[in-house]
Amino acid sequence: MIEAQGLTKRYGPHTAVEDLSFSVRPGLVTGFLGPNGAGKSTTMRMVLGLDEPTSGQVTVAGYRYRDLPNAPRTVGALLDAKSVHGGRSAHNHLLCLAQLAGLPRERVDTVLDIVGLREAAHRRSREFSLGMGQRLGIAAALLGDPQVLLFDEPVNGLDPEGIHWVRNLMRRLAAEGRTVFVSSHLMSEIAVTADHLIVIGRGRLLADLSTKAFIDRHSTGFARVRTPDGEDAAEQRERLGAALRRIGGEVEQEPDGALRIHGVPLPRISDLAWEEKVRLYELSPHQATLEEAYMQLTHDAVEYRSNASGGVGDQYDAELLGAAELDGVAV
Amino acid sequence: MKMEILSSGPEPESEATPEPESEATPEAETEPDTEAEDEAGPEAAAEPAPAPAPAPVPAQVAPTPAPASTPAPKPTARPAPDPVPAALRIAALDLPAAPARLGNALASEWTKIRTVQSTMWTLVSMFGLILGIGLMADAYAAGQMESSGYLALGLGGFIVGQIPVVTLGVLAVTSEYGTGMIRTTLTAYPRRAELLTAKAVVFFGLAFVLGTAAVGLQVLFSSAILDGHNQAPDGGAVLLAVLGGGLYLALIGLFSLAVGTLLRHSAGAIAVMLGLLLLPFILALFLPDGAGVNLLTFSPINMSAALFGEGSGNLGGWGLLGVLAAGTAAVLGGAYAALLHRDA
Repeated sequence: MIEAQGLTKRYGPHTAVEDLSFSVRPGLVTGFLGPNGAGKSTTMRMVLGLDEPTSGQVTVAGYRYRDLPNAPRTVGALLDAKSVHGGRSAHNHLLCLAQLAGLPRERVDTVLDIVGLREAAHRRSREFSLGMGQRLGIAAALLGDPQVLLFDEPVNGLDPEGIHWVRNLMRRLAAEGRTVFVSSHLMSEIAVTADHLIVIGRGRLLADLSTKAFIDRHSTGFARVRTPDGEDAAEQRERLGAALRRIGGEVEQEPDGALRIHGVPLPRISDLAWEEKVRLYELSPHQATLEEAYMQLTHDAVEYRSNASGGVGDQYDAELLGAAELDGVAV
Repeated sequence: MKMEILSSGPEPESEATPEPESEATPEAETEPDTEAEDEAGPEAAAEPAPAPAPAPVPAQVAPTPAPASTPAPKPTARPAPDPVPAALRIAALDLPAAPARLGNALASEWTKIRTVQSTMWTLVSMFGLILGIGLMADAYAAGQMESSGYLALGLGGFIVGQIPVVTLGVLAVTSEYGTGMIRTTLTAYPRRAELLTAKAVVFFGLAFVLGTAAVGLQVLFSSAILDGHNQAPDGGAVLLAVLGGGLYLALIGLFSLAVGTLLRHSAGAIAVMLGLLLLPFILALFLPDGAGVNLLTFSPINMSAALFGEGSGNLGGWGLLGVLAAGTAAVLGGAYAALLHRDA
C-alpha cells in the first residue's frame, strides 16, 4: 500500500509535482502514466525516500520510507535502468544489496534465475544491453521478496519477449497480493498490464480510475460510413446524416468525406441507408483507441511537444481538444 | 495502427484476431516454472501440476463496448486476478525477517569496495609509489658517503603515494553517485547515517591496514639495505613513521571520502583534494612570515614530513595527526549533514 497526500515537489521556481494525492492498493498492478517530464520519476523518488517532498507526504505500508522498520524486505524498486555500478558483475551487485538487506547469499542466485541472468551473472554490468540492465534492476527489486514493488519504466529497452515477460511478472506479483506500481509513458503498454491507472501531467493528477473504467469511458465505439463518390455524393451524405440524426445518432464528417457515427448500431445504419436509398461503400465498426484517449487527457499537460503533427492528424487533434474539456475524467 | 494498440481493448474485432498475450505465454511460463519449483518446495509438490495453460485473459478485457451515451460504470469490485499456480510464486519462504543492521551494511560495503577494479588499481599504485620511490631513495643513499637516519628516505614515496589513497577515498562515494548506484543503495538501506558510517569504517580499516603495511615494508627495505651504512632510528621514530603513516593515509583518505560525499562528483572532489594536499605548502612560500609559517606547519606535506622526522613546527608527528583527525572529523560531520538532508 502506497499513500500520497498533497505531495508537492519544487525545484526552485519549477514545480515538478503539485498536490498529488493517490493510493496504490495491494493485489493490483497500478499503472502510473504521464508524458515525459510529467513528474513520474520525481514522485517515485519521493515514495522511496530519496527526495524529500516540499510539502505533503507519502507513506509505504504506513511509514514514511526512511522510517520503514525493514525497507528492503518491504519495498523493492527498479529505478532508471542503470542505477548500478557498471564495473561490478551482476552477481556482485546483487550480493552487495543482499548483504545490505541481511539476506543470505543464495538469494542472489535465486533472483538471477528468476530474471534469466544466471549465465551473465559474472559479466560486468557495463557490458549489458539495456534489456539485461532492466532484468538486473528487476532482480534487485525482487531480492527482499517485498510486498511493495515499484518499477520505473520497466519495459524500456526490452525486446518483445522481454516485454511479455515483464508484463507476466507484474501480473503475477500482483496476483500474489503484492502492491505493484509501474510507471510508463506509453498507454498501449500500461493498458494491457495495469488494473488501475493513475495519470499525471505536469505534476498534477489527471485521472485515478480502473483501467476498465478508463476504457469504457474513453474508447467508445463508432461506425464509419462511406457513401459513393460522385455528383450527388454530398447530397447523399446529407440525406443519410439527417436520417441518422433524427433517430438520435451523432454524426461527424471526417476529412476524407466519410461519416463517423456515434450511438447507432451498425444494422440500424444499414437499414436506414436502405430506406433512404443511399448506397454504402463502407460500413465499419471502430473504436477510439486508448492512445487517443490518453493523448486527449494529457494534451494540455505535455511538457515537450514537437510542432510537426505526428500519428494523430491536426484536425483530429483539434477535435479531441474540444471534447477533452467536456469529457474530462473525474479526478 | 489503431488495431494494434487495441489488441486487448473491448472492440469486437479482437475476437477474430488471436490474442497476442495467449500465443506467447506457454513458453514464457514454463521457464520460471522449473526454477521456482525448488524454492517453493513442498508447497509446489502439494499443488496439482500447473499445466502451461494458455494465458489467462487480461482482467481488463471488457466484453462489449459501452454505447457512447451510457455512463461508464465505476467498477468497485474488479475482476479477480488470474489464479497463479503455487509453483510460479516468486516468494521466498525462508528469508530472514530481521531488519538489517550496521553489520549488514559493513559486509555490503566491504563487498562493494573489493569488487570494483578501481580499488585494486589505486591500492597497487599506492604500494608501487611508496615502495618504488622509497627503494630508489635507498639505492641513492647507499651510494653516498654522507649518511644520516634512513627513515626520511621514505618521505618522497609517502607524499606521492597519498594521491591514489585520496582517489580511492573519493571514489568510494562518488562512483555511487556517478553511476546512480547511490539510489539503489539508499532504497535498500534508507538509514543514511549508518550507511555513511559503514562506508567510512570499511574504507578507514582498509586504508589503515594497507597503508601501514606499505610504509612498514618500505621501512623494512630501507633498514635491510642501509643497516650499518646509516644510523639506525630509534623505536619511537619507527612507530611514528609506520603506524602514524598508516593512520595518516587512512585519515587523509577518509577526509577525501567526506569531500566526495559533499561534492558527489569524482573529478571535482579529486581536484579539491589534490589542491588541499599541495596548495598550502606552495602558498605558504608567498605569504608573510607569521601566516606563512602557520600554513606551512599544518600543510599535509609538512604533516607527512613530521611523521618521518623531518617536519617543522612544535606539535610533532602525533600532534599534527591529531590536527588532521580533527579536520577529518569536521568535514565528515558536514558529509553526514549533507547526506541526511539532501535529495539523493
